[in-house]
Amino acid sequence: MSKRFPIQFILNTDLVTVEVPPGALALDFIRDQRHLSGTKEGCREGDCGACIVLVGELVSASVDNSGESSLKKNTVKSGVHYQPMTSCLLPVGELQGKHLVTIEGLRGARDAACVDAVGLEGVGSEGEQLSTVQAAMIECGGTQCGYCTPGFIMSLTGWVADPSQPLDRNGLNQAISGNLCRCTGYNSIRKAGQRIADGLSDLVQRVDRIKALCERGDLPAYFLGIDRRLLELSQRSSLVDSREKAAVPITGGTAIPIAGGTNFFLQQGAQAQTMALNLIQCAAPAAAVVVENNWLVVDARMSFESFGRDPLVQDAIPDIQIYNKLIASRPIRIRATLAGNLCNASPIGDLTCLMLALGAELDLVEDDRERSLPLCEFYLGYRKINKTDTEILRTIRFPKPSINAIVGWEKISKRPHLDIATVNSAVVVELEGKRRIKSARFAIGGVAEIPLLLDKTGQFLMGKELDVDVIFEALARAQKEIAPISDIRGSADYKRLLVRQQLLAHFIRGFPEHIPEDIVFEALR
Amino acid sequence: MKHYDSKLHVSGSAEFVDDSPAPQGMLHAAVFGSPIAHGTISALNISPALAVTGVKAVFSFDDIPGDGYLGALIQDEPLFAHRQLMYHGQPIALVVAISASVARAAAALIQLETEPLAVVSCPRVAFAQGLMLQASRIYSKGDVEAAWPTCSTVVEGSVELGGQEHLYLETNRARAIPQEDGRLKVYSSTQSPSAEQKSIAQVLGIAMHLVEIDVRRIGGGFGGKESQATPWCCMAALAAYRLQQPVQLVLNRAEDMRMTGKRHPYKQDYKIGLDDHGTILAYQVTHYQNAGAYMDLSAAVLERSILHSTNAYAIANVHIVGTPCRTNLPPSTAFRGFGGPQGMFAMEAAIFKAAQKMGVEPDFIQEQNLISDGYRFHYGQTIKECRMKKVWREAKECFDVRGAKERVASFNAAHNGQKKGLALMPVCFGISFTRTFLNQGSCLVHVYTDGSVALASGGVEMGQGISSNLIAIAARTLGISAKRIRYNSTNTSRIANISPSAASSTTDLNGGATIVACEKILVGLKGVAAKHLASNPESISIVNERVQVNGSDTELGWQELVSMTYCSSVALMAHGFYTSPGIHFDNLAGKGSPFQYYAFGISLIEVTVDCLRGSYVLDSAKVVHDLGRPIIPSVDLGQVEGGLAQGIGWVTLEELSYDNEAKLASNSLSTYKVPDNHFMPNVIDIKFLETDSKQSGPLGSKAVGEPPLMYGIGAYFALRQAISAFKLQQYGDKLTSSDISLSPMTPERVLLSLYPNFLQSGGRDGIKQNQ
Repeated sequence: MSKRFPIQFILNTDLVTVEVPPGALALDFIRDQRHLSGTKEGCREGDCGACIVLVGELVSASVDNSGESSLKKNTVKSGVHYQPMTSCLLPVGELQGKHLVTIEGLRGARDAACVDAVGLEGVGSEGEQLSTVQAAMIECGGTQCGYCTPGFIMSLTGWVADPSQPLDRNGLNQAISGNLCRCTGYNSIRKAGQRIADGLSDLVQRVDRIKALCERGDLPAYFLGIDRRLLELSQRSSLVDSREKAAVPITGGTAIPIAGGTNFFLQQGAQAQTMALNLIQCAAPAAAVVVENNWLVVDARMSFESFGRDPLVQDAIPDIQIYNKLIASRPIRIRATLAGNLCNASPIGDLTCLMLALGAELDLVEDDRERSLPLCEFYLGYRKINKTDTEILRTIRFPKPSINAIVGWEKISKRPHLDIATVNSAVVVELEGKRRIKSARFAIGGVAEIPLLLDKTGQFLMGKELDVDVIFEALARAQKEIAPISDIRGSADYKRLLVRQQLLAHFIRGFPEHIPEDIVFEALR
Repeated sequence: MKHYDSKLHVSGSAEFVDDSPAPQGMLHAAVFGSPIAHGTISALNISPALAVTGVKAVFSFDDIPGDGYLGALIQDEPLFAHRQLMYHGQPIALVVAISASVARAAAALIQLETEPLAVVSCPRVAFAQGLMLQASRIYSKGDVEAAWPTCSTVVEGSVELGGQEHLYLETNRARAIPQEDGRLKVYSSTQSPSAEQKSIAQVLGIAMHLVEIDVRRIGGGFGGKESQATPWCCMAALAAYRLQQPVQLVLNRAEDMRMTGKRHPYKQDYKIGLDDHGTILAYQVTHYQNAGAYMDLSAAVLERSILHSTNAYAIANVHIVGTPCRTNLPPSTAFRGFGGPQGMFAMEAAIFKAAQKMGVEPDFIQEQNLISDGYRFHYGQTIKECRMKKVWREAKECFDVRGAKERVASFNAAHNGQKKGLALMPVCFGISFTRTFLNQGSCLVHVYTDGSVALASGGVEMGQGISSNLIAIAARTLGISAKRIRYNSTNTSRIANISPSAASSTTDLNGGATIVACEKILVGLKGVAAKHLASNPESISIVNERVQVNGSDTELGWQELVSMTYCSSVALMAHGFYTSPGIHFDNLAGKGSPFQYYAFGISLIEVTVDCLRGSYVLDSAKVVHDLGRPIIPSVDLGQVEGGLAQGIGWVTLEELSYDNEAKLASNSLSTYKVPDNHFMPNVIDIKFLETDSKQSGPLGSKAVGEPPLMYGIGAYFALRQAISAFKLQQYGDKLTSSDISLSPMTPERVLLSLYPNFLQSGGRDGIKQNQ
């Protein structure tokens, strides 16, 4: 049995002190220990969103000119930032010092008189107190069987409460990107989203949306005191202090490091309770990116979401947000980390392919030993990596792509969003002069036991003049480097075809003047 | 008025089976399922599970005190596998423990020795081996053999349709609580409370009046909980009865997906003949239905496939053969549409292929052959109040079909790497259970002395809005505000012999019964009012909670009238019973008038295929649907939009994959993909055709649950159109479409269709699709 953690956090209105194994999952805690049955279990895979909760943590908030706020944890404690998370993949151990909000925590937002003003005649029992989000879902027919509804309400509430999220259709699409509904077909929920955005449009002007929502009666008033309570909590807790002040994750011992765990808890949720885990996300300091000698140095604990929003990353990889949005869903990207993604060693690997193509290097640490190695030497075989069980991936470094390089990322999955890739690929191709290829790095996921760097294809292209014939020769070489198998994501034939098509897509998009689409389609006849 | 439950939904206070506080000492159960798809049990050793701390009992077939065989049509399915193993995941034993996790961990320790037998997962193979659950049914009209020589175009082809996982967000679950006097109360997530009551009584060998099933609401059913919720509640009941302790069984997602049956996969062969004008002269189709391991509802599902095999088209010569084939998959079961989608799909595939051969658009043939009043179907029913041509015209005008086609054509001419396609999908769907006796509904209306009203009926609230519909019907019939009315849980102690909430008929049947019950109470109320107002009952009405005499308000209000009626010792509660009029059907002969009326509608779906990547976007889905007179428009709209989404999912993303041993490979939400918000078309435009029908449900309404699912089929043919456009550009006439229509049209199938030359090795190794 694993060691138990003493944990303190606020659950809705109440301060909770519990001792739990680090792998105990928030969903079970909420339903079984606290008997809060509004949060539903749909899949235990983070794939349906029925169990979504909000997790608030102290941040300092500053807003730049674009209206996007950049949020940094714990530097100046001036507000609580709430994010949606799937409680089925969220270890209670990570809730230390945070505010966990379930659907029950939204009750009491507004008195019944206001509800009547919304005009909900003949609906449900009287006296329920509803927010704009809840009322819109009713008005627009956004609920049918109701099982997925609490998850949608939490996602939508998280959307309007997060100043980084636009109150428009794009913001809505991201907000509900992790929620499945089998009854409505989503159209009524979209209408509800529109109604919410219209009804709360004045929020756009407000940095402190929590305060604004409380004033409007769209969040219960107790939210206003949460920042103070969390601050007190962090000052009181010596445990948190020691963990928070650590600039790097604590290593040592036999506990398995878990950075997010969105795949680990999916695979081993049932056993996780009894395992010794080192939750390196737990009370971690702000994960961040710095630039050193034209290399980006990334704290490996960084989540997909914060990586995609980092200005330095966006400067280096301008389309990073487009790629990011094709990976999992927003609630998962909020939890999933680069370290977790790289060390999970899935052959598909999402951002792993991008890192491979970028030529990333890794810094690993265990106790006081440190070592570095290129990412392309990290993968030894199917889910085998050049890392001990307790070693921690601390930083990921990659050179900023040259101004003459294109960076491309492609992903094809059965469902375009909220799905695992059949084949994904990343390329970094640098030209010198008008069309001479200086370097070409292709990384492909889903076609081998590991995320694969196509060395030979890349070498073949080096020094070549870019044209359609050369590319087709490269495609033929790429087919020799890959070894896809038929599995649930697709047949081997399909994956081979996808490799060809994705590589073509990279070149058509990256070098339309040299590799025009029309010529490619002619060549494909 | 909105969905009655929605306020509870959005606040998280709507309770499902396992949300209510657990009764004292409640135990939890987990199911041990078969690790193989076909074989015999040579040894079952439960002692390792029993030895686990916290385990209270393990039950298997021999522990069943009564009759251990279940089934909606015939009782051929053992509650626990008994000697024979017929599908992967088939329940063998139930472990009961202090927690679900202990029960699951213990179940994994059960030792089973088996002797595997050959696995059959393809219905054609099963048919060839004589593995049939019932003899082939043949429905004929005219003479197709005589007609073929008169046709100028004849095409043949085959279809392989995948199944579909219901994916109700709430998995199957039940909580059974022993009561005094040998009784059991069972909270269950089921569409068929009475079937569960009967099955539990039978399994335990006790009378039905000792078993009470209560269903507050279910978290989605879609047919998946019509017959297949029953085993789980029987298991919970068996354990609770034997242990005399409350027992709860909640399947997790993986268990639910691998242990329960799905929409029937079909393999079909069709032949269609047309004249020069595009008139269909003859149509022949053979359905090989993949029924899975046991009968379940397969014969009834197949029957509807046959009835709807000609969809919305008038065809003089028809020959339809259908066989439910036994395979080693979980028993296939009801799923919204109930065989209708499979019947219609083959017809549309035939039209698509004929159109290609004739060099016309499919909708030319569709329009040419639409049914109208007086058409007599191959099963003998003559259609009345037919709106098929009306909805077609409406769609053409509202959605500017001609303009849309021109836009598609010019887009395709301008883009090498992207192609658009569009398809129209007319739907004519018969309303009523085809087992005619099931068309009965009951409602109990209680008016309390404070003027509040409670309804109880056989209709299970599963999101479709039955509670809201019945409240609205009662409010309109009684002349009072819906605010006064509540809908009670569906409970076998309140309503006896409940028909399943299925066949789109729940509102029709129970709403009809609600009107009957309300009218009975009104007789009493009006009598009392007439006496009080010195008028006669015929001149009394209640409007907006006020008693009127000859249409004029009086001083007398609802609440006062209710008190007065009570004090006059006149009944304020009534039971209403309703059966659908004018239907009869001989299931064996396949002749009669099985449907009270038909639902009509049409969809127009437009897609864009990325021909480089094989991925696609659904641009728009537009629907015209004949709704009769809506009861609650937002509830009806939700049914159309939701059905459309499921139909689109069935023919696009939702791919069930089995390995060579018929084990479900797509057994989780990370491997089985249903539409998400992003996937659904950006433009969804539903237009209701409001019509007055003599043949309809309560208050002029028409059933709306199932018909919209079939609108989604248009997405498949729109994708085929886009693929054809690309292939014409790339290969000219060299490569025409294949003879086999495979559904779903996944991005994989799209890309492989776009580049047929790339396939050298051919076929998959390891994963078989669409068994």
